[in-house]
Order: sequence, then structure tokens, then C-alpha cells
Amino acid sequence: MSQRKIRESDVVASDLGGRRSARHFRFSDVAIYVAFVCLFVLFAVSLKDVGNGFASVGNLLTILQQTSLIAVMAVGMAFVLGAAQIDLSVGSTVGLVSLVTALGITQFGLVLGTASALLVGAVIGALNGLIIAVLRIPAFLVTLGTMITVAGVSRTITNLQSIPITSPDFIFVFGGGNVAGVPIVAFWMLATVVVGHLVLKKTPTGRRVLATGGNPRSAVYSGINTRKVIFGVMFASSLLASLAGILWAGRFGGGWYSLGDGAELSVIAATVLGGTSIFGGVASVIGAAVGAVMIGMIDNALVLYGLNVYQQEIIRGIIIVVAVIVTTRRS
Amino acid sequence: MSGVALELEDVSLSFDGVHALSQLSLEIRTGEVLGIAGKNGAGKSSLMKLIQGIYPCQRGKLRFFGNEIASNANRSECQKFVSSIFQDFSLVPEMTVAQNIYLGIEPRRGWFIDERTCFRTVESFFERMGISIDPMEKVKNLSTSDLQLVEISKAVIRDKKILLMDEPTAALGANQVGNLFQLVSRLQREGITIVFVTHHLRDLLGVCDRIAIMRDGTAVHIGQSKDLTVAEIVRHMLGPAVERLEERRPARTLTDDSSPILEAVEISSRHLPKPISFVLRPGEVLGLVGLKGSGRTEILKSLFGVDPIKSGEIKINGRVCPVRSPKEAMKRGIALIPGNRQLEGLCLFHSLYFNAQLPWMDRIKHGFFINDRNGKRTVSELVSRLQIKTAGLSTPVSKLSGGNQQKVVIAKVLATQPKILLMDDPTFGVDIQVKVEIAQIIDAFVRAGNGVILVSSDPQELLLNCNRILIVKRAEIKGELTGISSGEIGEDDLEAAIQ
Repeated sequence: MSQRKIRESDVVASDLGGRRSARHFRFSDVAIYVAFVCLFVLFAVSLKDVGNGFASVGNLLTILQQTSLIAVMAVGMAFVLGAAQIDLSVGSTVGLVSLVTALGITQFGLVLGTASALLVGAVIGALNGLIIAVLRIPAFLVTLGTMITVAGVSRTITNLQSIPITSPDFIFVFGGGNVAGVPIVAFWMLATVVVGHLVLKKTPTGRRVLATGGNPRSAVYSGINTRKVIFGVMFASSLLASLAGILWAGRFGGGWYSLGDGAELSVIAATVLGGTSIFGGVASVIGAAVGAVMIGMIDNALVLYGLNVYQQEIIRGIIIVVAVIVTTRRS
Repeated sequence: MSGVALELEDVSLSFDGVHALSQLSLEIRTGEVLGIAGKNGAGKSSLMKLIQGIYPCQRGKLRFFGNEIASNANRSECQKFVSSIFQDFSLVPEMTVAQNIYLGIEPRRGWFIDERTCFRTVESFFERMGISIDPMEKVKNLSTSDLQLVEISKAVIRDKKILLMDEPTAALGANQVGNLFQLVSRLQREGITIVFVTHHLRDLLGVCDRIAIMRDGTAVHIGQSKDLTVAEIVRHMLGPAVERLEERRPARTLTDDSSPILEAVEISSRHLPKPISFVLRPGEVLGLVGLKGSGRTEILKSLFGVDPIKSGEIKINGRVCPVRSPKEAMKRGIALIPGNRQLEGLCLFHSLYFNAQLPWMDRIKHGFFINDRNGKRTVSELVSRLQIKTAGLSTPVSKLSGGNQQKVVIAKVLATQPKILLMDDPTFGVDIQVKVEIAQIIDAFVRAGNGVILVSSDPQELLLNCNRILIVKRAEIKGELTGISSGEIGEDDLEAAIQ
């Protein structure tokens, strides 16, 4: 309907309709989905007879459960990279948050414990955001510093001990619970992705992020407070990392410093695989989530192929590099 | 001293049928300082690029010291003889002056660089040329004028016999200009040939032996600088009976006592050290004329809050309004069309629609979400009103021509419904058709009782659009020109006024 109106009022820009997407079609925009389908088919066929088979419902749900947490963080990373920033501290935030969750629940109970965990994420995010946006220090350096600091704090506060969580309610809501056969973490992922996608594509906030990442100077000239945007994305990323940390604690059944160790690399890889530009300005929340699931799918398949951990790492590394080449190349 | 360093014989150059140079003949003697003057588009930069070997010599002959350069010659053929001194220097900040000068051609002793020889040669060269820079100083610690001197020294020590200087005095203070001129005359005595291109005509007269004045791709006058004056150079630059973009429009009715829509009271900012005051009345187009770097852009930036004022007041409709950021400026009805559309105006890989809705998307919000249907309607109305030629609203702006990109910037700014429009050289690099269209847009805008402040490097455009013109020199307002619509003020007056 809107298109008809535009056609009536305007001769020059008459073809706003269906053809526009074809006109500016870029393979790199859909490469992730093509790759996803191809890999899925490949694994489903070649691993048909291993155990229950790769494509069995049970196995697919396992994959979903394992990748949901990375996907939650990848949603935040899509905003961060979209604003031409980076956040290396998400992995170690998960570890600290899982410990704070476990300690908080034993001390203050379920609600306050979870809230204190989110507060930790908020503090880390605010620190990252303030140092990057106000002092204008590159995000890479700042979050490298917070990554190391936070990892150190997690190792210190419980002396490398893990802290168990015994509350069955917590474990159900944030961890091992199932609703209608689907792991509950998948719902957390779905909620994050839906909200993230809408914010990115449909609200002024999302467009400010992409404008800031695309050309910060033109963003300023368009009346956008780019510092506020940068603070916002760093804050959101840490907050989502702490949600992932809570979920991780739920799945593990407690807090431990090494939860989420190195997850930042999977998160960044998943986001870039999903079509988000590492140079900013272009981002896709759905792509990031699909990228995360794809990495999980590859990991799962490599296990089913019978490769040991180190062989898995070799193959996974190669696949990620190839996939990133395919999805990020602009012809 | 009497040999010919550089000779152009009947040189023509054209791109897509447009003549950049036509049958240009020029002879520059060894050890001479030749100045080149001309309006934008007269062919100065094409000539520079030809001499540097960036453009091939399509027709005619180009000779350095009697050696003819073939039309298919490699760029390095020219660069054996020529070095260009531009605004952006090719120096490595973290290295010392001596290291920079010898970068890539370091003398060696065995396997190692002979730092001592480098240092001594540079030191004795500096002494001979009266340059007081420490060769061991890191380049990052030098001032702009010192950088320029280092760049020149680098070229001469590398045995370049011809130096091209493009606007070398633009960024210099009066003292530093003196130093540069002193260096130029010492180089001249050593047999170095210098081609000096600038819009600062007084500088040309001060330093050059001869001046070649270009118009329409050829040298219309070549004369000894002692026989020329600024007024004469301007006359040659403009040529007889200048063609107008269109008939001068009748004067817009402006009652002088109407209260100002915008008033700058003694404002100063980081880049405007001295307080500046002026007023803009409703329905008025106020021009700011000045050379590049004169402070004309900085005035707009401080009004728009990009470079917020440090003292003084900005009054809008008589009320003092703080303008501390572009956001605040837009809220108060001030909008800016920035001088560099690709750096400041647009995000090139984003779509036309994305760029156009950016400043005002909060207005089309429906609950949390942007109502793109409304946004697209507004943008496509603007697209047809401004006659932007595009395949659609989702076309990336990088795919549009320069003129259409400029119109997208205008569209995005107009859609914020400003009352005061600041335009920084809006027609730079666009064709005449778009220039006329932009003039029409300005007309329609002020007819509604709004005000425009227009900065332009094209005097013709200022005369065409403005009711009043302020002269900006060295970050100060040095005068005001009125009586434009009656035709008392001509292009030559403007060209002379900014010198």
C-alpha cells in the first residue's frame, strides 16, 4: 500500500517495489544461510548412521542447547561490531557472573542473587563504555584490559573453587529445563534475538548504532551523540554476556571461573559469519545467531566424525576462516 | 642558468570530451620561479598532474631539460626531475628529520645505515639554506611550516631539479611565509626551478619571477610579475564578459529593520580565536567569502555546534540559545550542509533512505518503532522535489553521482524543517545544472521567511544567491559587501576582496 502511494507521488523513484532487493543483491548477504543449509545437508547425510544420526531431533536439540549461550552474546556483539567497536571481555564476564550468581543465590536468595549477577555485568559494561566513549581509548585495548582483569577477579574471589547452585527453580529456568521438549535456554536465545533484531532494524537506536559505525562524522553531523551510542553498545554487550553467564551457571549447576573461557572468539566469529562487518556500519542479529548455531553444528559434527579435541580445533579453525572469507568478501 | 627546465608545447588534455588543457604552451627556465594563477577549473591542477606524470601527455610535447617524455611513459620518468610539495606531507612522524629525508635511499657503511653521513649532509644543507631545524628532531614534533621546509629539503637533497608547490602558503602565518620565500630564493640561486600555484595572488607577486594566468585550460597571459598587479591578474583570470549562470534575479524584498532570525554576538571558538559578530535576517541569504582556510567553514561549524562557541552568544529570534552540539543546533532549527559530503554528509554504503531519514527518524516513531512507511513517503517526495536521480530509495548513495549525493545531503537536512540553513560550499564539484537547481532550492527556502548562510568557493555563485556578503580573512570578518543585486559588485571585486 505504501508503495502504491509512493508510485503515485513520485516518478523518479518509482521502483521501490520488489525489484529493489534483486537490484542490490549481494551474495555475501545470504552466504551464511546458504552455507548453513549446505553444511546441514552434508552432515545429515554423512553422519546418518552415527548414533541416532546428526539430523535426529535429540541431536539437534543438543546443538541448540550448546549454542544458545554463544548466540545470546552474539546478539550483543552484532551491536558492538555494528558501531565499529569490539568487546573482548564477554568471555571472562561469563565466568565472573557465574560465580557471582552462585554466591549471590546462596547469600541473598534467588531473585537478589540473579540481580547481583546482572549488576556485575552492568558495572563491567559501564566501565568499558565510559573509558571508550569518554576517554576515547580504542575498544580493543580497553576490553583486552577488562578481559584480563575480570578473569583475574574470578580466579581470586573463590580461590579457583567452583560454587554449586542447588536451587532447582534456578536450574530449571536458566539451565536444564525443558518446555514442550525444547530446552529453555533456546527460548532465552529466541527472546534475545527477536528483541535485538527489532531494536537494530526498527528503532532509532539501531539506526544510530549503524550510522555511528558506518561514518561517525556524518553521524555527528546528523545530530547523533556518538559517545552515547558507543557507551550503549558496550553496556548492552556486557549485560547480554551476564545473561549468558547466568544461563551458563544454570547449565553447569554452579559458578566456576573457567566458564566462558575464550568464548569471545566464538562470539566474534559467529557474528562476523552472520554478515556483520568487523569495520562497522553493517550488522545482522539473526545472522549472528545463525552463525552461532552453525559453529555449534560444526563442533557437534566433528565429534560425531570421531575426531579428538585437537583435531576438532584444527578443522573448526579452517572452516571458520573459509566461511569468513566467503561471507565477508565484497565483489 | 639560461637553459630551459620544463617545456610544454601545444599540450592538450581531455577527459570524456571535456577539455582540461587545450593547446597550452609554456616554457620555464632553469632557476626560475613561475607562478600559476587561475580560477577553480581553469586547468591548474590538470597541468600539475601532467607535470608530475599522473596524466599522460595526450597531445603535444612535454620536455624536461630537453628530454621529451613519451605519451606512454611511466610516471617515474617525470618524477626523476619533479617533486611536488603538497598540503599533506609524505613524512613519517616517528622518524627523525634526517631519517625521513634519506628514507629509501639511505647511504650505507657495510650492512648498516651510515647515520652520520645522513646527519652531516642534512645539517650542512640546512645551514646553507638558513633553515633552523634540528635534523635529529622527530618529525611529529615539528610545526606545519617546518614540515614543509623538511619536505622541500627532502626533494632537493634527492636531486630533484623542479619543485611543484601547491598552495604552500595557505597554512602559514606571515612570518612563516617570509621564511618560505627566503628559502625559495636561495634554492633559485642553486639552480632549482619552482612552479608555484596558489589562490593567494599577493604571494604570487611577492615570490615569482613570471606569472602564467590560466583560463579554460590554456595560459591566457604570461608576464613578468613586476609588471602585474592583483587587479590585472584577476581581470585575466575572469576573462571578458563573464557568462552568467542565469539572469540575475530581482532583489528580494528585505526590510532592513526586520529583527534578525540569527545573531552572532562576539562568538569565538577553538578555531576562531577572535570574537566575531554578524546578523542574519529572515528571507536573507548571507554569503561568506574567503579563501580556503580563512575561517569561513569554522564559522558555520561553531554555529552548528560541531565546534561549539567558547565565548559570546548565539541569538535565535532575539533569544540567547546555547548550541553545544549538532543535536542541539537542529533542535533550535539550525541545519548544516557540510563541506565534504562524503566524509561529513553521508554514509556511502548505506542506502539513500537510511541516510535521508537519519537526522529526523525520531519524528516518524510510532511507539518504539520507526514507521518507515511515513519516512519513505517523506523521502520520496523530497527525491522528486529535488529531482534526485536514483534507481530507488534503497540504492546505496555510493552508486549516485556527486551532484545527486549532494542533493541527498540537502534532502536529509531540509527534512529536519530548519529555519536557518548553513551551507558550506554546496555546489563544489557538481555540474552547472545542479548548481542552478541548488540556487532554486535556496530561493524557495528563503521565500518562506527562513535564512541562509552560504559559503562558496565560486564567486559567481555567491553573487547569484546572496543579498549580502561578508569577507572572511584569517578567521576574522574584514568587511561587508552590499548592493549585490543592483550589480554594483562584480566577480572581480570579490576576487580582489579576499586577497
